Amino acid sequence: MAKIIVDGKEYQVADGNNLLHACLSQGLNLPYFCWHPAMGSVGACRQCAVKRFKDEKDGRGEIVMACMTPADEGVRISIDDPEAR
Amino acid sequence: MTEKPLTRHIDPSRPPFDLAQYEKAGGYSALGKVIRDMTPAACLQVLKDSGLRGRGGAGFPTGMKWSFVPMGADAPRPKYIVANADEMEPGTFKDRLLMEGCPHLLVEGMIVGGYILQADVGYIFIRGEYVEAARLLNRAIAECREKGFLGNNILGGDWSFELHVHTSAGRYICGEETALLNSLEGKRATPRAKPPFPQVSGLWGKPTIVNNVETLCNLPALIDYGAEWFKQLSLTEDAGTKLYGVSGRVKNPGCWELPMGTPMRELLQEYAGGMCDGYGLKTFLPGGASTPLLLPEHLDTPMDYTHIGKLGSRLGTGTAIVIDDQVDFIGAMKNLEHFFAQESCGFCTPCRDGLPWVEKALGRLQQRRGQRTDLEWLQRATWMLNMGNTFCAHAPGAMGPLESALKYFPEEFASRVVEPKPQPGNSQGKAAASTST
Repeated sequence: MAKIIVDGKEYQVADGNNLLHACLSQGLNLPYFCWHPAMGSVGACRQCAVKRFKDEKDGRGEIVMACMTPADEGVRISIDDPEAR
Repeated sequence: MTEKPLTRHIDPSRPPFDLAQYEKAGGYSALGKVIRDMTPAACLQVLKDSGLRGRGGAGFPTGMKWSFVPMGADAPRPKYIVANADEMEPGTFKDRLLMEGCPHLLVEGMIVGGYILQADVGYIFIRGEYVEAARLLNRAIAECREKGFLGNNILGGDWSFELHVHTSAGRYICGEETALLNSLEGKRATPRAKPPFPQVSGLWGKPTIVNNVETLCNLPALIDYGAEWFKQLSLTEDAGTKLYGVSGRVKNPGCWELPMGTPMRELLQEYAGGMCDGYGLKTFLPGGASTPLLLPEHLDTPMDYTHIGKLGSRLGTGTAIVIDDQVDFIGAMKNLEHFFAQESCGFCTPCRDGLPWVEKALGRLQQRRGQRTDLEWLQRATWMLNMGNTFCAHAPGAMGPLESALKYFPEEFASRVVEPKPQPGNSQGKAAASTST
């Protein structure tokens, strides 16, 4: 299991998934179109954008595609960020 | 020693050198030097020390890029070196000059580069429209094969290398290195996700280096004369010479090899002969269509990666497009965005759908039918289609000039906006009636 932080809240998610898969499995609503668990990630539709932060001090963050980013231990993202929505 | 490592053998008044003439002029001495006297690691060190930066536009340090390629006996094989000759940036014609003027220089650069990387196969991925250059390169390669500069055990050493020319079917996106690799593999030319980077997993999953033609053409002289010589060629801290070009309404458009860091004013006045009579300089794109605009006040800035970068633009390919004061500026912007909209590979949504929207909004502004919403969309697009939001750098490249145009010339856009006339009485009914017609 890996711990990820979404909008300040911690979640325990299965290893080896991408962030989109991890968020959906936690019941978090993240829009997506081109991803399917059987088909893998391609990052084409750009709907599952989230903002990733380096650490708790990073206020700026950067937009990444959840389907293209591994849900590694300690990843800190926001899905409610106005730029990510 | 020469002041012009790239163009010293180029003379437009005669056909390019064949192998014998090129060798007589000192050609292939770098090839002999690396194979007889130098280890790949020593060559790479020269490359690193020289401070050579990629001439394709991004300006990434070549030595550093090459150092990511796995070396030694355990390295995956075959390894590839690819010359990116898919020169499709609007206003750019420098690689064409090199390949048509002296094809053997690129071939030698490729073989030397191949030796440094201990690559097995090289490809010159050339734009399909460059028929003459492809013909000359194929002939040069055939001459080298016959002479033993290509093939097995080159110059009696234990290194073997083969080189091929691949003519592209012609898409702008093939200039993006990972899309180029997909295209070379026979797939649809869409960029790949990075990482893994091509240096580790590129062509058919093997270590691959993709470099611009001009970058590779620097290698023979760099090996011959060394890193210190290469550094002193430049006027600034970015080393070497650069092929600069100027096009637009200037008296003498062209392409010249000059010390890195030559300011735009010198290029424009001394080499391009100044603006055509009756035209003034409004703005210019310093290095092709995807570089943000610069203003006349920036003319004295050294044209290198560092200084142009500080102005919020990019040196790009170093071939400037001059926009004069009498051109329809919004029309020019629309023309630019039309190119990018057409050349989007269609893989990711913001680029595929956003760029045509941008073009349409600019089209409405150009015809003075634009509304405030068009302007708002353009502003929004410069954020929505920017780095990180799209899959590759195509759409961000398209937004560079637009963003700078909105910043420097807001009045050009605002003056094209038609304010909706206040409608007396039942405005809603009228609007409905007008949309139904």
